[in-house]
Amino acid sequence: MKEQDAFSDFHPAVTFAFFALAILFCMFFRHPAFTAATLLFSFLYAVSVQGVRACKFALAMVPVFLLVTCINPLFNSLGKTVLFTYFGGRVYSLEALAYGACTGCMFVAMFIWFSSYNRVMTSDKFTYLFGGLAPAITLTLTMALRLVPTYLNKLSQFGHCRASLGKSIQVGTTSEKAAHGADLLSQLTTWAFENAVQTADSMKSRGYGVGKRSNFSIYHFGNRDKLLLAAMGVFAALSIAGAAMGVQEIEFYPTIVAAPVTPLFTCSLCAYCTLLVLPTMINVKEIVLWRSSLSRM
Amino acid sequence: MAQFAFQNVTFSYPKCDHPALDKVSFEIEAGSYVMLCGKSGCGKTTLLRHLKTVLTPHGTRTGQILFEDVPLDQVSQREQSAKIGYVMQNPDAQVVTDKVWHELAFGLESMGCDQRTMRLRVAEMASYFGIQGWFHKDVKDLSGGQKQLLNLASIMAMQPSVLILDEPTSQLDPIAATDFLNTVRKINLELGTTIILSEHRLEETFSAADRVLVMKQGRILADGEPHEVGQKLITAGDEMAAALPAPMRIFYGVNSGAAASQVAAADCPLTVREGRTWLTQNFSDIPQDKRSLPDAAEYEETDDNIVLSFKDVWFRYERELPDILRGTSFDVHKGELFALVGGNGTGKSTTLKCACGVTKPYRGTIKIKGKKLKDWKNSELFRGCIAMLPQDPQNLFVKKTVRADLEEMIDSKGLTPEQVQEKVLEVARTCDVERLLDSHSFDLSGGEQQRAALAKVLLCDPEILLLDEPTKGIDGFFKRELAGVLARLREKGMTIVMVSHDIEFCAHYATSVSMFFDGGVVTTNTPRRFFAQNSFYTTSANRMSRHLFENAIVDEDVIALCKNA
Repeated sequence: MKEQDAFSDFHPAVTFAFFALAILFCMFFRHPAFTAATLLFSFLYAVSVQGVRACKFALAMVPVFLLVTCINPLFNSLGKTVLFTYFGGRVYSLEALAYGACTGCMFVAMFIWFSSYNRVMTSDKFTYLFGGLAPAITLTLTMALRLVPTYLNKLSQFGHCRASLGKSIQVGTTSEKAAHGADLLSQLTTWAFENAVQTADSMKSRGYGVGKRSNFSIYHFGNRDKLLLAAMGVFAALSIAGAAMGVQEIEFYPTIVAAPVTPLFTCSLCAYCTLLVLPTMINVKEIVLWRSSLSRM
Repeated sequence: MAQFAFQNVTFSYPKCDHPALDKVSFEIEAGSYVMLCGKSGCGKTTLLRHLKTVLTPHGTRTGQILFEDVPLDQVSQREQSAKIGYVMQNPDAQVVTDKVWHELAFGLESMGCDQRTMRLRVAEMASYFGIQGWFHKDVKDLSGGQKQLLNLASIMAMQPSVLILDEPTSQLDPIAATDFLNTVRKINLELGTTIILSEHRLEETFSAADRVLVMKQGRILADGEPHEVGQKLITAGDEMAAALPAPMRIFYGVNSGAAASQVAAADCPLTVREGRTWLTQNFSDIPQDKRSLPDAAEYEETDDNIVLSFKDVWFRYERELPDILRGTSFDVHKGELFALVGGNGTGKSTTLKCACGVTKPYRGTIKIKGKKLKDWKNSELFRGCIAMLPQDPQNLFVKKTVRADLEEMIDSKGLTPEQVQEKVLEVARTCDVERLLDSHSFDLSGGEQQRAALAKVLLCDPEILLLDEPTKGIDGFFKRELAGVLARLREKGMTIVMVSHDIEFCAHYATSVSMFFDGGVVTTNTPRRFFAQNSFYTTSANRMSRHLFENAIVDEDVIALCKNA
């Protein structure tokens, strides 16, 4: 399936750098404004990549958020504003609840970033990026990626064949089921070995091991990649600079005390937002471009 | 200068008394298209594997193999990898990486090519083989035919001067197989790459080859131009003659006996086109009343003795996926050999899976012996009622030996070990696998596996036997044996439902043939009526003779009409 995702057409290094930054910042920037920003933009980007499915995913994340939010006060009773007490005096505080909500947001945002990451950074991009470090490991990884679906497919074929002889692992007594399962597994193992021998032959036959391997890729690091990487660098640096100068300082306990909103804070937050909105902007721009060019046709 | 030369090569596998290759000598010219054929197990693969050092099996060898006048073992691995391309049988197992584009470059990466060269070569190959459309796909999403084409392309990317193909189409459906063989032919014609191909599908490749080598028990039985080899096989009365293309069989069926050695071999037609011309030239003066075989009776749709019936069956694999079966309805009567034919992905195999309850339709009813499928208990259904032979027979074997696999099927309660062995032997005799009982299933050839799998399925003692592509990947000789086994089973009262792409097989042996299209049965008829009415989807014999004869669908029909004249 081809996503309508212009951002994933950039060089894998750019894509990877973006996700690395987004996910790291998501973990370390704990100011509520920053967390809210990352949540918002992770969601917007997910929608631009996956459409309705992103909304479904986000809905599924609501319980996670609620769980994390509500549990925090149970472990932490430092807050001053008491909402209620339980177990004969343990405090359930507003501050702890707020801290929980922030943590919950962070978790949800991380999950959403990761779900987009999985869509965009496909295995081949990953192996391409890190293949240079260890070609043998890369090849092993590539082969493993291929074997898993092959094995699953074969297993289901075997299962169907067993079922058509009345030896399905779903019927019979427990011991029969176990025996049928064991047969299935031994069948798969035998087949896997046989298959591996053939794959090895095919590799040798194509010169595997005759010399130093080179690494083929279909990616090209172009001008727009340079430009985007540079922009990302600038915005990331501004965000970090803000954080380093303490604009994000915030105390939750005993009462919530945040650093005052300075121009530096605004600047840093804006830079952070711009960084995070970049891929969404690229996607939206692409869609608009197509729409307008279509209308001209 | 010969590209390859075998000089008196004899080879034996370890612990094996008879040699797998016995004093084999031949030379192959650069640029030629050589076809290697022979019964399965005759040593074709062993021979082909000797053409590349890394693939050469272990064992004792005498004699010499030369590649471009240099002993093969002195040619460096690097040179062999690049110059000698080798495509194997199994499309899946040969693919190494997970992406099409990466697979194309695999060989080039091994050679340490630089990025620019690789880009160009990969682009060239993708364009030449028409891969652009699926260049970015995952290998797991490709069809079998596409995978095999990818294997070929990734080898061609290394620009070999010889291409060796070991039964490359045995696991493909006929359309994909024809496509693949056409591509191989194109490579030979346009690039001058030497082709050495082993095939059991002689019908399509025989006429394309410049030269045919026939092997038998490790020896070269015949070597020469296709016309000559055909004549030689016929006059020698060899089993392989059954596998020759239909026009050839008909020609020598008409000129049988002593006449076969007297006719000029070059007159023999190899293709349907040549066959038509030959018939027109020799038999167009046959009087009108002698041009037709008696019309077979119309297929009777009675309600008696229905053992398997589908009524308005709808099925899809997942909710979002399209329907595979769209209101399929048909009845199978007791004792029939009911053949379902039709294109790929029309739902034929799914029909069989539904019939034995492996997959469950969401609408419609399936009745077995008058009782709804869902009312059957699993233990009753698969004990003495229905059983299915899957498309890939290997999927059925789970034990270390064929014998153990057969024993697994026998409910040993109340039986002595001797009785169990007796049952095993009985079914082994029926399927002609007695001498294979102690082999591992992976060591059997395609035809042997098919028969062993059939033996296993028969131990369910079914009244209804479902066969999914029983002739896939087996040669003409084994097809006849299989037909013999099926005939014996039907005599015992078994009903057989078969899904097949093999038109010739259905025309010869089925009692009724149904055309399956778009998730349902379009028409059912006796084979003679069915194939005589079709003009594309019919046997070679019919396509070759339909301009002169009526109702002639198998070789014997055409031969009889010609001889009658």
